[in-house]
Amino acid sequence: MSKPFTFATGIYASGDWESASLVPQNVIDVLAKYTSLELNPEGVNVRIDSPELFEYPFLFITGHLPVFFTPRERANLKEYVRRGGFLFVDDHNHDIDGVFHKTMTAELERMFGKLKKIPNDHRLYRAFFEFPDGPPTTSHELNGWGDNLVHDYLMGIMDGDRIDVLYSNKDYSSEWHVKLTENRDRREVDDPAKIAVNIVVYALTR
Amino acid sequence: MRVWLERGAHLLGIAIIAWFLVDSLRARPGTGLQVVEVEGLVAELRRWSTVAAPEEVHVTVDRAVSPVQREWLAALAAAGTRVRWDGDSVLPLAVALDPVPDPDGGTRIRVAAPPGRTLVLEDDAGAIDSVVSGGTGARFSTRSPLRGVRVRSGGFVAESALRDSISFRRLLVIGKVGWESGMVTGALEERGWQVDARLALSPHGDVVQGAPPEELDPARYSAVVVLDSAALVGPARLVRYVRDGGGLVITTRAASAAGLARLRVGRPGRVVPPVEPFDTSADPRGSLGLTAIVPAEDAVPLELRDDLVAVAARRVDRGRVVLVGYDDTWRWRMAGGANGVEEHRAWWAGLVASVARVEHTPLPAVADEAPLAAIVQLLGPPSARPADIATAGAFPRGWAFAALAAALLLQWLSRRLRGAP
Repeated sequence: MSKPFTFATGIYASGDWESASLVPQNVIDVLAKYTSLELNPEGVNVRIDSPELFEYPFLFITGHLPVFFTPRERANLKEYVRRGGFLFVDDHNHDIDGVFHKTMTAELERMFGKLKKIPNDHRLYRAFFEFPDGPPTTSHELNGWGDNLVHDYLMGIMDGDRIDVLYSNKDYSSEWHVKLTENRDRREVDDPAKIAVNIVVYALTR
Repeated sequence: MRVWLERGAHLLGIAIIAWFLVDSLRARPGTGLQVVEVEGLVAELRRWSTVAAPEEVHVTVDRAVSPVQREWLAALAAAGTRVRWDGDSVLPLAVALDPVPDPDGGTRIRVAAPPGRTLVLEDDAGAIDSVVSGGTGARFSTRSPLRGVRVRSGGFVAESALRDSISFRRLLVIGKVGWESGMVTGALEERGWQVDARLALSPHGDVVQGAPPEELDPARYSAVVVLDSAALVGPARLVRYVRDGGGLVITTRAASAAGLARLRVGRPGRVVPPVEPFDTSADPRGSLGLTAIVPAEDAVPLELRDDLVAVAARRVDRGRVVLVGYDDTWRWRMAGGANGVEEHRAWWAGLVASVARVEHTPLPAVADEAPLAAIVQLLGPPSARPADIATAGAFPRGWAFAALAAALLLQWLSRRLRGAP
């Protein structure tokens, strides 16, 4: 029996890695709903400075607080991406120039080089569902609680056209942390987790 | 007494001169039996071809005979001279050079030689490698494409040049969306293959890369890699593709699930669970899950893990099939240590290269791949070196001349000492 897809959340020494603890279960649910992927029904939390990290080629990192990786965390993450791991980082703050955004992007660029805007016609947005306008907006961006700021692109560390590290400050963490079925009922936007399906399918097929 | 001695020396001198006279009349240059070693062969061949051809030639082969010399001897034989040779010390040495069916290039070199000989592999740029031959000769492989190589051992040389250039078609990966299909496809693309893929993802459709047709054709795909049977359209088409000359790499689970037993490489055997966490201190493949293969009678085990067959191969009509028992080889790439990416890529490239159908374009090649075999082919098997002619050349004439000089000197000295005129 081959190993099923496992949604792994990265544990890092600084900040609040556990701030969106319902995200894994909700993403797994939506993957099960739309795809026939073999899925681990439960996500795992894995220390990003541990060798176990390499057993989970999809890694989700989120948080609100400033992030400063240890040298060992940096080395492990760098090697993780070199070997083919896919790192998805989401800013749980949903603001511009927030502390997580500033410190995390600095850390990512220190490890991997310059983050680039991902064009909105990238294959990521066609990997399963079609998102012709790029990343879908979240309820925060549509004034659920938030500030009416719409981030109309995602960023990434790219190898040519291939995304190795995906960075979002759209706060999908908040969006997917809420029970998705409830969330969908009270918004006009489409199922907000569809983009999660695209991200996972893209990571598996890039 | 002294006078008798002088007369004896005088008569001996006359006899030797007479022998020289008779011998010069009998053994005209280029006639009779000529014995020659390789060192003087070129000069002799030139003389035999321009002055007079001997009736019989015996070549003592003690070092490499060049193709030109061999052909020249063969021409001499065709012109009526009886050509024989001996060479107890001739090293049976042969070399063959093949391009590896891998877009990353590479050359496979196989050398046949007796066990225990030091073999030096070289090309025009110099020595590449050296090895002591084992029971079946030696094998070399290089990452760089070589047009020609030489193998030296002692004074003997064999050389080979590429006979063909090869070109590739695309690869097709069939499976389901997951880490295995993603990382195997990635590894093969990194290696230079152009990969199409059909991967099952949901009841509503597959993920398709490229434009794979439903009918598989060896003219379109050099090889097909089947990791899972979920997206396999018509196993019968796959069997037909192999029989028509296509290459197939398929996992044990996919083969049994898709009803591909008719390929008869083997059947699934013992299932060994993966080692978790991955043990990077041992052979990386030791940590992978394994569905062992019980190979068919005419299948060839290619890789063993402990006493279990992990990879086996079989020729099916014009095509070749490799059956892979490992599960989740992506773990080797991700968790298999610092070299896991490169090792995983090279291993998969090797599997595909072992079955891939490639197009061959002949190249003009001049090579001396098996010198001893070429001598036998041209001049027949070796024969015993004639004992009576081994001393029939310079040796008796030299001694005869020395004896003549000694006899005349003795006679002259004796006469001077006794005051005779």
